[in-house]
Amino acid sequence: MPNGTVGTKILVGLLLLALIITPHLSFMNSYLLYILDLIYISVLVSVGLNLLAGYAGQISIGHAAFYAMGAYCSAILQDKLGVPFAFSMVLAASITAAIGYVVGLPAIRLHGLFLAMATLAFGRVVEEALIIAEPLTHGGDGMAVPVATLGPLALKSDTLAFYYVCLALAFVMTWLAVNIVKSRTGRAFMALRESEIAAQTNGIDLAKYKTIAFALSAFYTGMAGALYAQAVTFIAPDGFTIFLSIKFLAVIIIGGMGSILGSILGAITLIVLQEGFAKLPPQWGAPMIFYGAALIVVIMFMPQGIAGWVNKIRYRLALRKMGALSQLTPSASDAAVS
Amino acid sequence: MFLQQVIGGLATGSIYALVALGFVLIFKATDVVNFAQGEVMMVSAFFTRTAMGWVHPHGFLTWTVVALLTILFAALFGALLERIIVRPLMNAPVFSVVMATIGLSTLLIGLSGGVIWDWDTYVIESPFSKKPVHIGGIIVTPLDAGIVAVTLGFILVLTLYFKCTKVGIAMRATQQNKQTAMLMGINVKAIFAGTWALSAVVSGIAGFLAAPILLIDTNMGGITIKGFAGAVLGGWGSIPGAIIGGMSFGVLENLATVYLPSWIKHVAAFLVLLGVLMIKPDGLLGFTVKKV
Repeated sequence: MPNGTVGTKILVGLLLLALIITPHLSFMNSYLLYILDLIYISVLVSVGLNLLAGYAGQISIGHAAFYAMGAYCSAILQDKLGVPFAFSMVLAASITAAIGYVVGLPAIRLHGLFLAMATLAFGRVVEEALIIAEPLTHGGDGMAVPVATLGPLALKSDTLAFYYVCLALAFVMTWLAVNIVKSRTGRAFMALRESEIAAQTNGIDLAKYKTIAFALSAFYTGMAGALYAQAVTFIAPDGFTIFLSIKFLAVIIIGGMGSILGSILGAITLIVLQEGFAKLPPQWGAPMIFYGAALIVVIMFMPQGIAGWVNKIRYRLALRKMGALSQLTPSASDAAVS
Repeated sequence: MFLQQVIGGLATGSIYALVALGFVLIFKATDVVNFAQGEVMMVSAFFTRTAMGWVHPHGFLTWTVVALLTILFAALFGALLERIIVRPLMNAPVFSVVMATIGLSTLLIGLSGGVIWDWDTYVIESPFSKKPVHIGGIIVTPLDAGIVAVTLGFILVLTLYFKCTKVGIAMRATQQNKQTAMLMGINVKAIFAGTWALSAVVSGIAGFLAAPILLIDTNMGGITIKGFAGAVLGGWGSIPGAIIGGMSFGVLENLATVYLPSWIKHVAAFLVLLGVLMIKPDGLLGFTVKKV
C-alpha cells in the first residue's frame, strides 16, 4: 500500500473524491450503487482477513462465521431490542471481536495447520448454531433485517446515505489498517508470520499478538457483516457456509497476501465476478470451480497476487528513474542493481 | 443399549479411521495437511456409483471388480493430484501447499457437481446386506460388520506392506528423514507420488464403504473435519493413532447423539479437536510425531 509519499496521498485523495461524486453521475442507478456498497463491504472483510492471514500468517477457514455473527448480532439487536443501527453495528463488531479473541486463544498452543482445521470446525459450529438458535435467528428460514435509520435518514441499500456510510467505513478502516501494519503491532504480526521462534527471541509476545490478530480481524469482518445484513435486507444460515470462507481466502490470495492494496483489488474482483457468476445457471457450479482453480493457479504462478504485479511495475518504474539518474552519476546505477 | 451404540459407532468410526489414515500418510511424508481429503473420498464414492453402472454388481465376483476399479481409479487420481498440484509446490512454504489443497477441495466439489456428476443425493446398493441380525441381544447389520471387517483387513495389509515390502520400507524411511532417504538411493519424488496415491486409495476404500451408509452427494467431503478430529484424538502423526482415534471418534459421536442433545453431533468434531489439542495435544496414544 502507499508508503505515504505525497504522490500517493494525492492519488488516494483524488480517488476518494471520485467515489464521493460517483453516485451523482448520470449513468448511476440503484443496482450499480448496490454493487459499490457490496465492494466497500468486502473491502472491510478482505482487509480484516489479510491482517490475520497475510500479515500475521494465521490461516482462518472460518471467516464466514465471523461475518454471520456480525450480520446476525446487528440484526437481532435492532429487531429484538430496538438498538439504533449505529450502535448495533459497533456492538456487533465488538461482540464478534470478542469471539474472535476466544477463537484465537487456542492459537497460542496450536500449530498453524491445527488452527486452520479448528477454524474450519468453528465455521461449521456457527452455521449449525444459527439454525438451532431459532427463537433469535428464525433458524434455517432466515430472518428479515429491519431497515435501519441514521437520524432522519433511512439506510437502505439503494440510498445515498447508506452508500456514504459504507464508503466512509471502508475508507477509515482501510486507513486504520495501513497504520496498524506500520505500527509496532503490524511489525509483530509480520515477525510471527516469518518465524515464531525468531519473533519470540526478539521479545514478541506470541500469545498476545496472535489473539490481537484474531480479534482485530473478527472486528473488521463483524462490522462488514452488520453492513451486509443492511445491504441485502434478508439473511439466512445457508449464506454463510464454508464456501464463503474459502471465497474470502481466495480473494485475498488473488488480490495479494500481506498487502492492503491487494485486499482492495481482491474485493473488487470478488464482487464483479460474483455478479457475473449470478448470470450463469447455478447447476454448473461455476463459482466453486473458479475460486478453487484460482486459488491453486494463483498460488502456483503468482504467489504475490495482483498486488504483486502492481508492485513489480512500480519497482520497474523506480528502477528506470534511477537508470536516468545514473547517466549523471555512473556509480548510482550499480547501487540500484545491487 | 450402551453396547449397541458402541457397536453401531464402529462402522462410521471405520470410515473416519480411513480418512484419518489418509491425512496422516500424507502428513508424515510431506508435512502437508491435505484439506481435500474428504473430497477425494467424495470423488471416489461418485466413481463407485459410476462403476456400478458399468458392472451391475450382484455377486461376490462383480463386487470385487467394482472395488478394484475404485481402488485403481483412486490410485491414479491421487498420483495425478500430486503431479499437478503438489509437486510444483514442493519447495513452496507449507502455508501455500495447504492453501492449494483448500482450493482443491472447492474445485473438486464444483467439478463433481457441475461437470462430471450432479448435485443430487444418491443411495446405493452395498455388497453387504442391510438386514439386521441379532447376536446375543445386540442388533448388528452385516453392512456394519462388513465395513469394520474390510477396514481391519485393509489395515492389516497396509501394516504388512509397510513392514515387509521394499517400497513400504522406502516410504517409512522417507517419512523419517528425506535427506537421508535420498542418500540411500530412494527416489523421494516417486515416494511422494506413491504416498498421495496410497492416501487416495485409503480414501477411495472409505468412499466405497461409506457410500451405502452416508449417502453420496457433493457435501460428503464434510467428513474431512471428523477424520481430522479422529487423527488428533489418537495422536496426530501416528498411524495406529489415526485408526484407533477414528474408531473412537465414531463411537464417541454415536454415544453423544444418544445421551446428549442431538445437535452435539455437529459440534462434536470441534469440541474433540479443541479439547484434545488444548488438554492433551499428544492424543490418546501419545504417539504424536513432532517434526522440526
